[in-house]
Amino acid sequence: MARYIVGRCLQLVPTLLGISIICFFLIRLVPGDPALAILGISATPDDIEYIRELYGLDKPVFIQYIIWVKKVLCLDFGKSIYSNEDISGILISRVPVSFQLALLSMFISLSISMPAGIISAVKRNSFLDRLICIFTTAGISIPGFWLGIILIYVFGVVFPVFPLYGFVNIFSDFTEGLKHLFLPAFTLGLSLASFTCRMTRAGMIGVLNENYIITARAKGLKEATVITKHAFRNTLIPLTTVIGIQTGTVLGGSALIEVVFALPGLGRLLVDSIFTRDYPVVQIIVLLYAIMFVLINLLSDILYTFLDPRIVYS
Amino acid sequence: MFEKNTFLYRFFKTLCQNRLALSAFLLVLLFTFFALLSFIDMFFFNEKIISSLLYSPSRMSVLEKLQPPSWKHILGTDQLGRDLLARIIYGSMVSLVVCILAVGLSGITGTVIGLIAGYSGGLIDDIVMRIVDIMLAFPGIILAIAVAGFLGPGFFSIVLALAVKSWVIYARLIRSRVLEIKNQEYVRAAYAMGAGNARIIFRHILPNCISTLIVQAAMDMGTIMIAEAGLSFIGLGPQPSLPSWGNMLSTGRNYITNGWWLSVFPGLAIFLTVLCFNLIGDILQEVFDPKLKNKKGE
Repeated sequence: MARYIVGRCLQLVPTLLGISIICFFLIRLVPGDPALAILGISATPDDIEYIRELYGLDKPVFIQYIIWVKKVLCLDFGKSIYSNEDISGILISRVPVSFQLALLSMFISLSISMPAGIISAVKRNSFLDRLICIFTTAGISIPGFWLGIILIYVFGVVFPVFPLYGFVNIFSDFTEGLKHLFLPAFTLGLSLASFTCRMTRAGMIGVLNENYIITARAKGLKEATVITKHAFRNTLIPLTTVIGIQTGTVLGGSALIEVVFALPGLGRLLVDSIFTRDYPVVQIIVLLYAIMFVLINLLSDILYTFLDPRIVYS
Repeated sequence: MFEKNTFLYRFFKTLCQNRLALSAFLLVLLFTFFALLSFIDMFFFNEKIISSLLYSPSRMSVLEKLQPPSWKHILGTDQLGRDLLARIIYGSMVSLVVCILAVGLSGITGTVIGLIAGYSGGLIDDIVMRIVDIMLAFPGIILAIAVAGFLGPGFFSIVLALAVKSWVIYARLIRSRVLEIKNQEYVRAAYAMGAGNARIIFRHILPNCISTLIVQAAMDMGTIMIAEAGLSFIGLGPQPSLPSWGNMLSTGRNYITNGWWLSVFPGLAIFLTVLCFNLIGDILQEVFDPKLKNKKGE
C-alpha cells in the first residue's frame, strides 16, 4: 500500500508540470505584447521596459517559465498590478471564504443526497423514488447561479430571513456567519446533491442485489440494519471517488456563486481580476484551483485504499 | 444508409413511447426555430418580423420600464423598457449558436485526437492521455473564465474558451472505443486484405464511434449551455450588445428587489433548454445502448 501511495504521488509530477505550463502560457493568450497588456494602452516606453525587466519578458520563453516556476515554488507569487499588494497576502484573505463555502455546501449536499439516494434505491419505482428522480434530473439542469438569484429573491426579498449579500467569518461570529453563508452553500449544495443522489441510488441498487444482502436478510436481521450496515457501507466506497471529483465541481461552481452572493472568495477574485486586467493574479488563481483539485483527488484515491482493502494495487 | 434509418426509426419510436422525451424534443425544435427566426430576422429583415409579432428587442421606452408581466408585455419589460419575451427569443440565438459551435469544435477536435491516440497507441497515446489528465485538473469553468478573459470579448474567444476543456472528454471516449474496435475481427480482416490506415479509420472505426459521439454531444449541450450562460453572466459573453440569456440574468440580478421577472424568465429559458437536452441525451443513450437498461438494474 505504501508503494501504491508513493507511486500515486509520483504520478502527480507530470500533471503538476503540465498544469504549470498551461497557467504560464495563459497570459500569452492576451493579444499583443504582454507588457502592454499588463499596463494598458496608456503605458509609457519606460514603464514597458520596467515591466519587461520585472517579469523577465526580455528573456527567452523557456527561461521565463523556469523563473516563474522557481518563484511559485518559493510561494513568491509577485505583486498584483491592480492593488500593488503581495498576491500571497490577497490569497490568504480570500481562501478561508471559499473554503468555508465549500465545506458547508459539501455538508448540505451529502446530508440531502445520501438519505434521498438510499430511500430512492430501497423503495425503487415507488412514488417517492419517481419524485426524487424528477428532482435530481431537474437539479442537474438548473444553472447554479440562477438558483442563487431565485433564492436571494425568495429568502432575501420576499421573506427576508437571510441577508442578501456579504460575508461574515463563521469562526468569529458563528450565527451571523452561518446566516450569510447558508444561502450560497445551499445553492451549491443542491446542485451537487443531484449528482451524489443519483450515484448513491445506482450504487445502492447494485449492492442490494448482492448475495450477502440476501444472507443478511435470511438470518433475520432487521431491514434497517441490512440497509445501513450492509448495503450503505459498501456503497460508500465508490462514493468517495465521486465526492473527490465533486470537490472540483464545488471549486469550479463556487466562482459564479461567489459572484451572485458577493462573497469575497477566490472565485470572485478571479472574476474581478479578469476585469481589472490583473493577469498575474488570474494566473496564480487558476494554478491554485488546479493544484487543490489534483490534491483532493489524490486524497480521495488514498482514502479508497483504506476503505476497501480488497483492492490489490500493483 | 440502412443503418441510419433503423436508428432514426428507433429514436422516434422511443420518443413516441415516452411523452416526456417527446415534449423535450419538441421544445428543442421550438427553441431552434426561435434561434433561426431571430437570426434571419436580425440579419435580413432588420428586426421587422419580431417587431410585427411582438416588439423589437432593442426598442427602448422610458415610460414602460420595469413593467411586471401583463397582457401587453407577457413577460414584462426590463430596466430600459424593452420587451422581455422578444429579448428572450433573440437570446436563444446567441446561446444556441455558441453552444453548437463549442460542442462541434470540441467534438471534432476530441474525435480526431482520440482516433489518432487510440489507433497509433504507444508513445502518442501516452502523451495524449497525459494531456487529458492535465486538462481535467482544471475544475469546472475556471479555465474557461481565464481563457475568455485573456482572449478578450468576442464570439470566437468564448467558443474557444468553452471548447478548451471539453474536447478532452471526447478524446477519452473515442480513444477507448477505438481500442475496443481495433482488435475486432472485421478490422483485422480489413487490414489483412490490404486496406490502408485511412480506410480502416474512416470506413471501419469511425462509423462505429458515431453513436458514442452523438450521445456525448447531446449530454454536452446542456453542460456547455450552462457554462456559456455563466460566462455571459459574469460579463464575458460573446457580445454585450446582443441579448443572451446569461447577460440578461446578470442585469436581472441588479434589479432583484424590484423586478423579479428579469431574473426568473431568462433563467427559466436556460433551465428548460438544458433539461430538454439532458432528457434527449438520456433517450439517445437508451436507443444506442439498450444494454444499459440492464446495467442500471431497471
